[in-house]
Amino acid sequence: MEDMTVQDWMVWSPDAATIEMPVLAFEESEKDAANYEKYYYFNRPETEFDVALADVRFCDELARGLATANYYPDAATTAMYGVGGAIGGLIGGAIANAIHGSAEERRKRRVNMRRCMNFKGYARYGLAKDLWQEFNFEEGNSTVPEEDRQKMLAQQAKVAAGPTPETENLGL
Amino acid sequence: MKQHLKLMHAALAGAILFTSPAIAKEDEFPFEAAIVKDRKDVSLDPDKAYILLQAPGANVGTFFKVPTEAEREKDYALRSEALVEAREKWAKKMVRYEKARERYDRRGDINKPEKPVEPTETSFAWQPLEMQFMVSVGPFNRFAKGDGNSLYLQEVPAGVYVYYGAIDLGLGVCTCMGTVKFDVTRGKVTTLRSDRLLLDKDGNPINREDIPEGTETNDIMVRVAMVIEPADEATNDPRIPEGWITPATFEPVAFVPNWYGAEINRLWPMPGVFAYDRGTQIDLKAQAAEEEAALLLAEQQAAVESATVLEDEGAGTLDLTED
Repeated sequence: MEDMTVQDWMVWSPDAATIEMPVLAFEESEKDAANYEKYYYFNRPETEFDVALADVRFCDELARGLATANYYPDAATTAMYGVGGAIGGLIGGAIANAIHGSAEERRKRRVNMRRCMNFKGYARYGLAKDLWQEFNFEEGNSTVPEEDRQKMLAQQAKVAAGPTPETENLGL
Repeated sequence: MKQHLKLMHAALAGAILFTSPAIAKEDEFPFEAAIVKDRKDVSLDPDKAYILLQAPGANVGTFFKVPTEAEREKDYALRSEALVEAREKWAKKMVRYEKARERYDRRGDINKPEKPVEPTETSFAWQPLEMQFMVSVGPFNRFAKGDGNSLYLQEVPAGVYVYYGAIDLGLGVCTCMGTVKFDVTRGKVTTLRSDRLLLDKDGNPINREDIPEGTETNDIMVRVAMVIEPADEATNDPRIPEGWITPATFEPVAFVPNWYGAEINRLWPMPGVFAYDRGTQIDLKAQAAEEEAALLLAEQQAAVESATVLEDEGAGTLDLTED
């Protein structure tokens, strides 16, 4: 794992059994409930870990401008752009960051993950900030190293494919 | 404020650096588009194609022309050349890396060298041609505006266009997870209408206008569906020559990349054109065509079977006569 490149981490296939299940139980305070639009996790019943990981990764990549699944009807140029979307994403991200700052980047990520995972049929549940920070990250001025990102996405997938929570589904 | 400007300059400098392939592309792939402003003496060119976007108010609409097969082939050839050069550079970097890595393994007290990323067919970044063929209308320069009716008229090269969302200065939202495409033909004004739909927490529509009381602001920002639909008769502006107005014929597009790292969304389902099954867009037109083909096939098979029975009965009668 020591020599894994960014690309290696992006397609890393961990065994679900090796991924630590984060703590999700907490005593809800008023402050917690007021921040659920920021601090949340996803879950979908009858979903395998691998499927959840693919979904979380797709949404993460799309949110940061990397997902480049081909939309052409033929496969002649399927791989043409590779991670080329990164160029566009970098421009957009850099300009957005300069104009609106990292707060805008954080807001955008929250919106994107909520929409994308909702479209994929996942329910959303609120979480206390300190618990959320254990397996989530904010998008902002500093880049999250790919290794850290992928390890946290794997934990998010573990939760998404885990037991159905008994708390309220906050929805989209 | 100074810091703000510095950041802006740094970002733009970065953008120029990253978009350098696009500058070269402008010569290789010219794309001329022009806004048609609100003037009395509007003169539309029969050799040009036009998109007319209708909206309830000031709006931004972004479209891109789908590159033709020839354009894609040419772009792919350019990319292949660039990839060869990138691989040559990478090979040199790898030689330096191996040496540095050997030193690091031997001594351990120096900074660990970073392994260069190998540019491959799948990993090599290349400015998508679609970004070169992209055009946004609004929120300014309306062609006409009235009560609940804003029109934006844009001259574009003829072709197939995808509705991409609302991108302005690299910011905004893309309909990356489900959108439409349509033909824009020469000598015509192709019309469509854009709107928004507020949703509840379960993704069910509330309405197009009023934000429900007590809704948390950040939730409102998330729970918005984007709508593209046929334009109404308010697009019949007397400055547009008779017979030019052509309602867009929509075809579904399941996915487009988020090239700007923008907000992501998808279009609200379009009756008879597309629906969704979770995150997957369902092509209702293709589904209807398949059902129609299956029905036709069943009818043909029934007709053949019926003819065979008649033939058999006829053959039997003949046999009996002969007896």
